[in-house]
Amino acid sequence: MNRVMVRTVVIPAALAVVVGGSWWLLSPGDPGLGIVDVLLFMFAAAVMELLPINLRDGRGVPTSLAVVGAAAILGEAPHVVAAIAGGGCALAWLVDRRGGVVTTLRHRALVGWALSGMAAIGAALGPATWQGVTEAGAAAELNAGAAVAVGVAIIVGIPMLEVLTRLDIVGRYWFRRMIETVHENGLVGASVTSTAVLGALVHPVLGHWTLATMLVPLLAARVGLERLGLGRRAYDQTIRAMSRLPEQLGSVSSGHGVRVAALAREVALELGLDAATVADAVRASHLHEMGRIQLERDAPAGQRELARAGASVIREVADLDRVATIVELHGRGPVEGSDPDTVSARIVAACCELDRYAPDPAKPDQRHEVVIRLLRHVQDIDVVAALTRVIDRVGVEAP
Amino acid sequence: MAGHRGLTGYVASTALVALAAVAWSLPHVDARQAAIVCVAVLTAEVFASTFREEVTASLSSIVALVAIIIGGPQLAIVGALGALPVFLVRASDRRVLRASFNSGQYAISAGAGGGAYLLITTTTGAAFPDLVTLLAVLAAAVTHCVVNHALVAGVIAVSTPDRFRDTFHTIGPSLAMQVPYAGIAILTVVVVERASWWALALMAVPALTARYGLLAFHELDRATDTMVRSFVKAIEIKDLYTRGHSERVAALSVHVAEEMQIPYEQRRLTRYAALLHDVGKIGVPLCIINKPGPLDDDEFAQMKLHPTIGAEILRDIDFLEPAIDIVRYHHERLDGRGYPHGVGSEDLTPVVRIVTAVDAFDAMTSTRSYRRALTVDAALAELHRCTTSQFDPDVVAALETCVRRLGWEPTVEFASEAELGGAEVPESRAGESAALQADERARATETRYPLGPVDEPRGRG
Repeated sequence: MNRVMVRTVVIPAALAVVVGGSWWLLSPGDPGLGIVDVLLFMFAAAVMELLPINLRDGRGVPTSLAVVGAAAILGEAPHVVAAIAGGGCALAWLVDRRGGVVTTLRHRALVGWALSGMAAIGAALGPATWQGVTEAGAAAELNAGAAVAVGVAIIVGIPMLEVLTRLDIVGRYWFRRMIETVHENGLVGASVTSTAVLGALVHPVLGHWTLATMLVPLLAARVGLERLGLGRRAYDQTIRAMSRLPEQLGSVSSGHGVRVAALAREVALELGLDAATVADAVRASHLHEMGRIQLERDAPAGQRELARAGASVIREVADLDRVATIVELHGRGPVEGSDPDTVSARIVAACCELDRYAPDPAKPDQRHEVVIRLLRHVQDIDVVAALTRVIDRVGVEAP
Repeated sequence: MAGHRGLTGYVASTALVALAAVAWSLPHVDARQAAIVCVAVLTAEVFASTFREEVTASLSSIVALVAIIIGGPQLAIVGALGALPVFLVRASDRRVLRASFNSGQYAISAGAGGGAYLLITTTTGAAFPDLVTLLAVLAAAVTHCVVNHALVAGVIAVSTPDRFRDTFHTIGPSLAMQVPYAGIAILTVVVVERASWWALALMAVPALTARYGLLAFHELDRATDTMVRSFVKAIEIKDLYTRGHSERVAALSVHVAEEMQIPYEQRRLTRYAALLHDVGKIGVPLCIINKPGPLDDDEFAQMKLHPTIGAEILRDIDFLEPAIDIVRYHHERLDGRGYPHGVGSEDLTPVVRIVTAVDAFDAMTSTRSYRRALTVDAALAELHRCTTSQFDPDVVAALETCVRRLGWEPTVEFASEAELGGAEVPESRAGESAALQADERARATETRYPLGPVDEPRGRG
């Protein structure tokens, strides 16, 4: 059994079983859902499974967690919650067959199982059931301890676990990535959690109609966040397309900007730079040859003039001051300094040099030559070491 | 004058009916509840967001539905008064008239929705949250929406040449929104009546997330807009002759698209594509772009590649994907004799035809290194002459309407390099081909093929 298998399957499964198993010890054994409700929850989970919230990098946050979380807060047994989550996932797969159903199904079932256990632990530790004040009819009620526990699991626990299962990609700075992931998913997590709590709260009043109403605000949140995700993608793609402008002049190989940006992103992550700096380093990598547009009319320029002209073009046309600074710095030859912009500039310079050189890292002699060449070019052993690790991990695409 | 009287009469009638409804409702409502609903409506209107030119999202109709469930139509009618201060402040002109109508139609719509709810619940004797009452909330939402649209369509029909049904038929998307509105209203009432006010915070989280997402999207949308414009600036760094051309083509194309009633989303894409239609010129050597004299065959062959290069540059931008044909085909002709692909009318969508015609019009009405600008009348005459073979007659007609309405003038604000260098710019000649003028660098063909298609030379001029 290899390490990836242990990390992605065995540990999460063991955690889920241990946490979920606590339900049998701690739950009062008074489930709130009948068979019709369970089927309705499963159907709602399937619908929401088809409507994830897509943030950056194409990773969708499943909104079906709201349905599963509500079932967990209502005190359902782990196997029932896991069945709701897994059944919803399977039903959704019948409609949209993209992606690996087995992996997703396993993930959802484990999460459902664990959420139920978390709810039981929260209910045991937290205060007794809170009951709403009402003049007539059934009152809304909520187990606050279970709600808090499920909220913590959805907002913090699940994103953190997902980072841990991607340690080979995330690298040494896994704790920073965890914090960034929790921060990035915070709004979605809060919306999903509040929807789950709301559902559990109003279920005693609305019964079968709970799901049809409780999910409306979450769907509104999805519309807003989906729009935001689309906007981010459009912005990034526009910058990526701008990298093709200097390539059309013929003096830069096709796809150079995109390849440098891909390498720079990995190196920046490897060096533990924060998310904003990584984003700007990627943008600078896309745009680092923009100076060629301005200098085409003049005599051939050196790297320094090219970078300065590029920074000037970026400041003039795109209003991206930090990106312009990184582009300007990357052409100055070896620059000293440990501030994020200077480090980013060295990353861009190293990745650009590597892409121009187009080595075959599988050949030891070329690898040695690459390292010497990069060290001479950027004079930053950390950047070069990170770049070689990236080469080892992802390889280098020849131009 | 008669129209003005009709508008005043319509607004006065609406306001009077609303006033009567308020007067009838006041004795029947709980003062505390009425104050809360008024404040909620006021807050909803203050935080109403205009997300694009046709859509303003306000939660006041949800507040009206909640008021209907809690206190019947009377509470909803009185609650509509909460919007009055916002309407008074927001109106740019004829404040009293606008605020009277808007508040009046809010109250009448709320009353109608409340009436529908009351009718169903009293007839069946159902109590909230029975299934019948939940359906009654939906009926109230639909009634509220229909009456609201009818009153607005009425005031537009009275004050503008637009017909009632032309405005009323836009009700579709609003009707679809009534299902989620009813859902949120039901949830709110259950939370408030059966739990506690604090539990509304649970609903506020996703609602605020939605608002945050949409507002942040609009910030990003503006940033993307800037980035798209930066493409144009990047081209203009290289190509001094066409400075301002892309912006003018984009602006006029949107006007023409509006005139032709092209849907909003397509108009938005048309603007972007029109801005970027010449982006491929970045791949044409500078010596050709800025060459003062006629282009030879090789040079023109390179120039003809710019639509393809442009489409290639933009291929990774998902949101522009539907508009890339505009970039790719903006030098094509209806008769299939354009370039670089030689496709015919069946491949040229209405928005492609719009940008093609506007591009030609702006090229003709702009001063170039090889000739001065044509007058607007001369350019329009040339476009009309080339309809059916090159340009869509409907597009040219819409373009003429827009140009006349906007008082379009030939562009003299930018100088060509020839002018900058002190060289004399020749006068335009009557009867030059619009198609050839349309291509800024087709001055070579302008002299060689003055009236015909690019693939049928008629000899040197």
